[in-house]
Amino acid sequence: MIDVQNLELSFGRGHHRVQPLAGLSFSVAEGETYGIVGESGCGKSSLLRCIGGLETAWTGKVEIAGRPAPQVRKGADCRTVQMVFQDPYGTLHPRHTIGLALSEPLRAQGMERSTAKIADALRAVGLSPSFAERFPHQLSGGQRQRVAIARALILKPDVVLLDEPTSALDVSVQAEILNLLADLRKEMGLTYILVSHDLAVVAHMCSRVAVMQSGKVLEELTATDLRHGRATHEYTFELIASSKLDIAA
Amino acid sequence: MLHGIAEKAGPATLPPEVLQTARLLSFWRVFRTDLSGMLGLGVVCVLAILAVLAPLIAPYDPYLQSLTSTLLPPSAAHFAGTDELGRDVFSRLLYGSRTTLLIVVSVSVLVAPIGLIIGVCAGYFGGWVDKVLMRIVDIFLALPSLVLALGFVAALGAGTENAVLAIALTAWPPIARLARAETLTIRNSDFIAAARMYGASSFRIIFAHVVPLCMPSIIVRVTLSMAAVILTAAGLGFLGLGAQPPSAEWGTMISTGRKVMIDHWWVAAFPGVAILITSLSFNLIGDALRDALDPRKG
Repeated sequence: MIDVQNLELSFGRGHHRVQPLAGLSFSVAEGETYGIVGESGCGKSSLLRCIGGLETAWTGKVEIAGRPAPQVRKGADCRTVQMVFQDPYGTLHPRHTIGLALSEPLRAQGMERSTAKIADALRAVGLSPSFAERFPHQLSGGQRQRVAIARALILKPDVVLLDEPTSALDVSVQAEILNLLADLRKEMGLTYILVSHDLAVVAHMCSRVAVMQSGKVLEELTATDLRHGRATHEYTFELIASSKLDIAA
Repeated sequence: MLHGIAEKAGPATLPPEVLQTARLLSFWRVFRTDLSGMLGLGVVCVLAILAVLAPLIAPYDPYLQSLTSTLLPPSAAHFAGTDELGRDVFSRLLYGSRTTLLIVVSVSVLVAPIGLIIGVCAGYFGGWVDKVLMRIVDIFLALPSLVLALGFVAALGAGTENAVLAIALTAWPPIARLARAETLTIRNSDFIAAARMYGASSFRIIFAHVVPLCMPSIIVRVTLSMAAVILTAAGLGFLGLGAQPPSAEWGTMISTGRKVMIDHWWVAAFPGVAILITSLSFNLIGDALRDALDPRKG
């Protein structure tokens, strides 16, 4: 479903050159949840932004659903990949009602906009259709994140990029959102790339996990390997130790 | 207090229009508690009423000369005395408020959208668009505004319309700068990234997403700059490049009163006080608006 080959991203020149992504490759099968872990600044978010088309200066090859994804996305290109962001407070426009936030993607794609469609989208993420008339400041963090998921899914994408979707939520809400995401993946046949620094979340959600360090994929583990601490690189062991992942789990 | 209002507006059954009204109401509740802001608003409202009703209120024709009663001190017949041509200063002040408010309103209407759009485009597109637009802004900001306005009026000819254009020319760059700075903080938010991901056009992102968030600070800035506009208009009038002599304009009135200021203080003092009070009022309103529109209070 997703095939990334030799993806590179750099900004600036000479001494000021920074390279968040230094040629990384991986592929994700259809219907899979692929995890990406690593410490802050290792390029996890840059990777998602490249795949999602928010960064345009990358080189290499990104193939989504069998078609090469262009650097600059326009019109219908945007429908295949959508993203859910980390911060529930920044993800929605503060002056737009939830209904408007959900109808904007439909408007942008020239698709039919109707209250029924928005009500369906809200029900799919476990919210009452009456939420359409509220403003984001009247919603809790978990509710906002549900709206963000509804907004990502309303265009019926194949791939959803999850950029630490639960790290800003408290633990019980975190579990609700993760279960919702897992259910939606089964129902709609979605493919996820989940970026997180929380190894427990990744081990729970993903079948395979890539460990990233300074813009490269250090190694790829299965979720079982991760749970049992069967890594090959020193860095991965450190990461597992620092996250206090219960190895017996 | 505000928190309570937000909760009253809370029930999901309320349509968005009602919520908008609730937000306006809560804004008004903050504004109302600001004594100096209310004072400024009161003065400006009174001034606007006086300007509209000037022909009904003014005791004399502002252009009627009476060479038998020149330079009379303030009295029951002439509240603010008469000038060197025997015209009633109070009547001329009332008519002058029309010119002043006309200039303030036209400059604001011209300047706010221009500054906003240029600033938002520069901030949103970045790169060479930003460089070109901001260098133009720098050029305008490099010249003192009164000097630039003087040059413009000198080139086009004196008169109220040209004064409006000249002042507008000097008043938009600070607004563009502000709009750009606001846009720079907004454009990196996740909701803009989301809008780009679902393929919203730049036009739509700018007008539906960025501009509504810039509006509060632009409104504050425009209100605060109204005071400067009044002073520049009066300055141009004083230098003989604004409204032309027979017409009643505060700056022009000071200019003619200057010659007789030592012996007949009222001719220059009353228009001076009018300018002072009006620009002070706009400043007070601007300060109160800034507090009331502060997102940390909303």
